Amino acid sequence: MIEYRGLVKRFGDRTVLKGLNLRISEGEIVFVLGTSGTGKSVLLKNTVGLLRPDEGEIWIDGREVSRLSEEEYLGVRRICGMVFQHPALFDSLSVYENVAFGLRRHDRLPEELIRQKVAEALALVHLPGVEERRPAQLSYGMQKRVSLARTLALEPKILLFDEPTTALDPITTTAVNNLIQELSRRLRTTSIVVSHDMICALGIADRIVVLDQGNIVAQGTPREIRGSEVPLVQDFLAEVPA
Amino acid sequence: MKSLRWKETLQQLFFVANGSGFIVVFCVCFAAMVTILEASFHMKMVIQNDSMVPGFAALLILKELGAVVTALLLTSRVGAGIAAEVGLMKVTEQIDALRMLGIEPVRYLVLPRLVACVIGAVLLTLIANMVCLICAMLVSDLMLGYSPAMFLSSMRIFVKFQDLLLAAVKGAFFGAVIPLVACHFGFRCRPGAEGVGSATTQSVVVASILIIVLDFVLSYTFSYL
Amino acid sequence: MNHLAHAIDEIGRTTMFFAALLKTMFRRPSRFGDVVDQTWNVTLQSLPTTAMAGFFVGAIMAVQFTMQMRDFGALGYLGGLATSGTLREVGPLLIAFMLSGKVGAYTSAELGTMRVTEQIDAVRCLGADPLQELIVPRFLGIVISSSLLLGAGLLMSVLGGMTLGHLFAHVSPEEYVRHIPTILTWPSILIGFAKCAVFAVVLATICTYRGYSATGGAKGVGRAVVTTAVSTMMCLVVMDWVTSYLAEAVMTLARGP
Repeated sequence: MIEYRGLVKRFGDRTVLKGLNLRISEGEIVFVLGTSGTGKSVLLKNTVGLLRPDEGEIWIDGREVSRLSEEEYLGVRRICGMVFQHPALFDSLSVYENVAFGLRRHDRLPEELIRQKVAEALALVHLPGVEERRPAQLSYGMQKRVSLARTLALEPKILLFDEPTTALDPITTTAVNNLIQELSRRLRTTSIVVSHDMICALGIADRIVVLDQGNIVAQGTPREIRGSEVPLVQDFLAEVPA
Repeated sequence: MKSLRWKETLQQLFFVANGSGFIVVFCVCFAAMVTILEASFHMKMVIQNDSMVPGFAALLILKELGAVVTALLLTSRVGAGIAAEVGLMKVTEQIDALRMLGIEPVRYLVLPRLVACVIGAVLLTLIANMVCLICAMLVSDLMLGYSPAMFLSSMRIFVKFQDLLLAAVKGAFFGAVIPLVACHFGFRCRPGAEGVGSATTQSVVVASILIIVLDFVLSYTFSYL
Repeated sequence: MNHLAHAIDEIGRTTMFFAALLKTMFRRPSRFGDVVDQTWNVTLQSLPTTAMAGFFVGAIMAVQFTMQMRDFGALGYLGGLATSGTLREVGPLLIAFMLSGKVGAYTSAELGTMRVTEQIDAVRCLGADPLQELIVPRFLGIVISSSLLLGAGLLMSVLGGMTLGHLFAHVSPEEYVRHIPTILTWPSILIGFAKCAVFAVVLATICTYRGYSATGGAKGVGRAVVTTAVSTMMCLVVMDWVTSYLAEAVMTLARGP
């Protein structure tokens, strides 16, 4: 489904990704863990073309996408939904217009269908009936869920989450994690979650990939990761109750 | 006097004066060129020749342009800088931290900036006036054919030493307005990137308007001196 | 030397951004409603400040001209000279300085905030072009409304000059207005308004570029605002000179050798 081959990304003289290789098959939930600044978010942004790799290839759905033009990339973004670290809702638009934004740009749909799809997307994130509110009137956790609904409305085949639970309280964190699992199973999407939360990774991931300084230092199922000897993985596991 | 924090004040002065020196000089040079061009245009219209241009232009530069242009530039560079800095301290709870340490944040942050800005603005205003006059002199030599000697003797007839002092006084007033307004909005900054942005914007707008109004009041008052 | 290289770099980037903006504007026009919204917003927000600034600039110029002309007994020319001087040079420049603080800083703060909270990335991910969706409507809105605002400010400056001419120089408003046409010619008015239009484009380009390319959280937004105001002002003084110089050249050509 998604494959990274020898991905290299530099910012000035700092190399963030150093020849990363990773293959993700259809329907998988992959957690990418790592400390801050190890290029986790950069990996996601390269996938949807917000950043372009300096070297290497990205294959999505059997197509090499890293050299596509901005116009051609629209097709990739159509199947590849990204949920940002910030809610990134448009403050000037209502929740309804926010969720409908992508639908209006990607496909020319009749208003009736858009209304229906928006309602479905909001129901998926357990927030029915908030259409007419403004983003500023919602709590931070609700904004995050609306942002997720905005991505889901396009019915993407691939879901990318950039630190979905950062800055959330423990209860909302659990709710969002459950939501990710539930949605991925129900909608049969392939999901990549960038996070530094080992506990929930062990709980819901099919596979965990641990990044350190632009390289993969460990990967495997939660069970395999639990038995890993890599020091960084040990550090991550130290916070997990036995 | 201990509360003034000399080192901080000097650092601020360096930021105000050294950091803005180039921009002020650059802008004022162009303003001088336009002033000479326009003054000559109007003189030719009223009295058919532009012999009095040097004097008139010098007077306009000293009394208005030098001080106001400098002050408006300082507003956006230094004022916005202070508002963003203090606003960020407020947002990241550094100001609360100061309070917890028993330090009065207003005196601690505002006073050094106020002193530095007043001194910096006076110095920059004087420099700006000087550069502006030199530039005007060059332009009238090159474009209108008045030699520097003619420019200076024409200036002597119109300009009094008092004008230079009053320009410095204007600079001092403007220099005080900038940090006060900036700190006011910085201290009231709302959280987040949005809050910092709007604190910065508001401080620039309010300070610019105050400067223009204050300039009018000062010009009006000085006209009776 | 590093500073110079950096400055040239920035000028180049801004120019390229401007070119991309123009290209987007014609290839993929923005929605008309968005442009109208932006124009309305900017105008409404800034009208009071601009009008006030205009009034006081006119007043200041009237006071200065009075002081210079009283000695020559040429107060009759006050209306003409103060109006013409304000309209052709001081007015557009000072009011544009004001607007660069008000409109420019506001827009770069708004766009910068959208950039650092990933809203601009979100626009791209949802299949829209941020230039077409966000930047061009703001650019056009600022160009249109700043031109209008500058014009309004200049009209207010005439009023300010007239008021102070009456209060300070004891030149009655009728006398003041009657002498305006003796000095203020149509070309001068045209030059004044041409300057306003040029300033509006400079202002709109720089603030949208700076906001759009902001990086690094709340700090980055603060930095974007500061650099916007400073670089706008520097460009304004240069453009002020360029337009005055060009106008002078055109006038000389028109008058014939």
